[in-house]
Amino acid sequence: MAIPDVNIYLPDMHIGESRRDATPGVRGFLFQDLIAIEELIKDETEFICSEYIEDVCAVTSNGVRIIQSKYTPRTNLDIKAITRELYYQYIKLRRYGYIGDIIPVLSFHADAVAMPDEATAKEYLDLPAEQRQFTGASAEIKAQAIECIQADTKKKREDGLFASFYKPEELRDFLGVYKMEEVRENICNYRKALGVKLDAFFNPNSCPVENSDNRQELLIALATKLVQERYNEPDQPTDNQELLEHRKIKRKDFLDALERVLASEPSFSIVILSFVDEAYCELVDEQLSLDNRICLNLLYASSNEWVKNNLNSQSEVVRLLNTVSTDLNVPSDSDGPQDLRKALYMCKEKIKTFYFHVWKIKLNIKQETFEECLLPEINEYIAFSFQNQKDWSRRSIIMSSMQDRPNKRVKDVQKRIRSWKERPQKWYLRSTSIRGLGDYSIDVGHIAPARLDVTSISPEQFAVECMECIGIDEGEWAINENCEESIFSDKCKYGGQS
Amino acid sequence: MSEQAWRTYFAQNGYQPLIQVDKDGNRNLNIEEFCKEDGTIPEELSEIYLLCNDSDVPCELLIVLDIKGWEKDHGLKTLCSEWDEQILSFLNFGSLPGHEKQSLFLLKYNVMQILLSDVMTAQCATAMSEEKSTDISRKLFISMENGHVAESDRSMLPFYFDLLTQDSRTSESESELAQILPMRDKLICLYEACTTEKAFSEEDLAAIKEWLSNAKN
Repeated sequence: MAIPDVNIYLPDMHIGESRRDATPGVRGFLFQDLIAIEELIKDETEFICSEYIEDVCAVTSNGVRIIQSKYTPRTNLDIKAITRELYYQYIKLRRYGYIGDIIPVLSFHADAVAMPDEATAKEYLDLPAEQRQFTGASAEIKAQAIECIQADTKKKREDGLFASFYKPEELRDFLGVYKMEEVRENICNYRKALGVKLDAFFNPNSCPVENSDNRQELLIALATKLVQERYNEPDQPTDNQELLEHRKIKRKDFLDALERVLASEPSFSIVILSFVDEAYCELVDEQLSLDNRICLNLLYASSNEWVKNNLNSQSEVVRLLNTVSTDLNVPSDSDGPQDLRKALYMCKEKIKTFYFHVWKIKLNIKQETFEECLLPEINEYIAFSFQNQKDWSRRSIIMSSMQDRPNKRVKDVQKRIRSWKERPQKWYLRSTSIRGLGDYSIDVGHIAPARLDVTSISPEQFAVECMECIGIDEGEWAINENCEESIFSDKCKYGGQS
Repeated sequence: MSEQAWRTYFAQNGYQPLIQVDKDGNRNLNIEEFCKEDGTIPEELSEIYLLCNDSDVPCELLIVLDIKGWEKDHGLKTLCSEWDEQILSFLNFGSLPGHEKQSLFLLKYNVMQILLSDVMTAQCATAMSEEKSTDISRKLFISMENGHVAESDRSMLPFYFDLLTQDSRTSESESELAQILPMRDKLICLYEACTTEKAFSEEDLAAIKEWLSNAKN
């Protein structure tokens, strides 16, 4: 018997799923995007949809995999809730009349989980003792299912559907195909491994990025953006059929798009976005409170947006390099795109540290967007002003970190900043030894009194905040620091002394 | 004559040299800001002299750069600017060996680049202009002759001065002045601070008039 086209059934599968559209940016980011990419590169996949039915659904010629992704290292999964949610989708699609394969999948990175047996599953699903089957024509059955899934609470929706359509053999069928697929690597390694898999699809000689690590990074970032943009873009269609078409990513289109982008000089923004993804990836295992996790996800999403909209031209890239580099010279906007790309790769760790600093400061002050407190009119560097957060500085630069030979490096940074027109009053620059007040210039013919209060420093002076009070290392993201009493304050626990 | 004879001027005036020379003749300096990328001492840097005040707080730093043999004008401005950049970085972020805990505030306006030059270089337009600059550090171009500071330039050294000699004319002038000034015993009112017209008594005014009429004569 020919398998009917699943596209006929999918639009109505979104009924009752509108919560997925209402809260963009709060989802379990990145891991589910990587799961979607893994599905896309499977030969049998025709297309995938993210955030349409469950986290990901992948359609093949004879069925559909409905995937829930969970990345919760060192935590037990709530198998009951997951099983209920996947069974709900399974029953729903069956009641709509789809006869192809429906494979419910839990893709997870967490403590090992056990597949429920029939008795446990019945308990999880709170099924009645006896078979209960709503009878009628297929249209009536579908209408009954739709009525169940429009109840006002999730529990009522699930209970209503389970109680209306319970057949023990159907539960056994569900348990027979229910898959728990463990991703053993942590998210950073998983992402890297997918980059390698993607790289194998393309001819490396056709890509201007010669370094294979960089090329793989770029590929996984590009792939992630292709997946994310489908559900993150504003103004998504409200009609379920149109939404399905909008969210759908066909395997062939996906691979063609990657090949096309790979064949030309990559845009600056995608190179930078690959660093942002890598930085975010390193924070996924941090034990954040739920509020902070949501806030970090929103910051990651808005950082992506900002990069896409503001780091495309050569001068915009120079602005970023000027902000993070600790070298004497950064390329100018008259340098070629290849030179700028190379400079970006050279500064990769510094760019990541820049994002860590911005995100941690903003987590501390509960800001959810990258752009808040940004001073867009300053073009020489990325300037912020946290004055509305009780920072004394009117204009600040959030930099990276000073590692080897800080005194030597800081001279180079100082020289570059001195040449800028609108110089920052404060440098947020991570260092173990550089801090306190400094001068942009000294007029030896005009002796000024010592300034004891940084808040009244002259335009020719600046302060360096060593960032020791702001933790960005592994395990430090769960700590909320009080910026008002540390980095925004005019007092320093070292007395501002280097 | 030693090529380094100029060192005696600094040593005699209590300046402490900061560049150490080991037994193999290698020069070492523990101030990273003034060293090259590889940690060696720049060729032109002959010496750094430090002066501390009576409380042993650093108060003056002289950076002696040997530019003898440089072509007139060539790269002087760049050299001075580069050293200014290093001096600023040192003042902002650095510390002095042995004085790590002390503030460099007293040094802030007291760092000087002393450029030991050929006579022609010391008198060129760029040198003149750099000497007028008050940006970050003072610059002083000193003409050198046979390893010594040229006679004409010795008084330019910040610590160099001749002993003042008393001129015979000074005492004569002082006695002339004493005769013109009012006598203290008669006109003490004119030597008192904050004197106003109202404060003079009839007696005082008479004495002032008498002194003025004598002065006219």
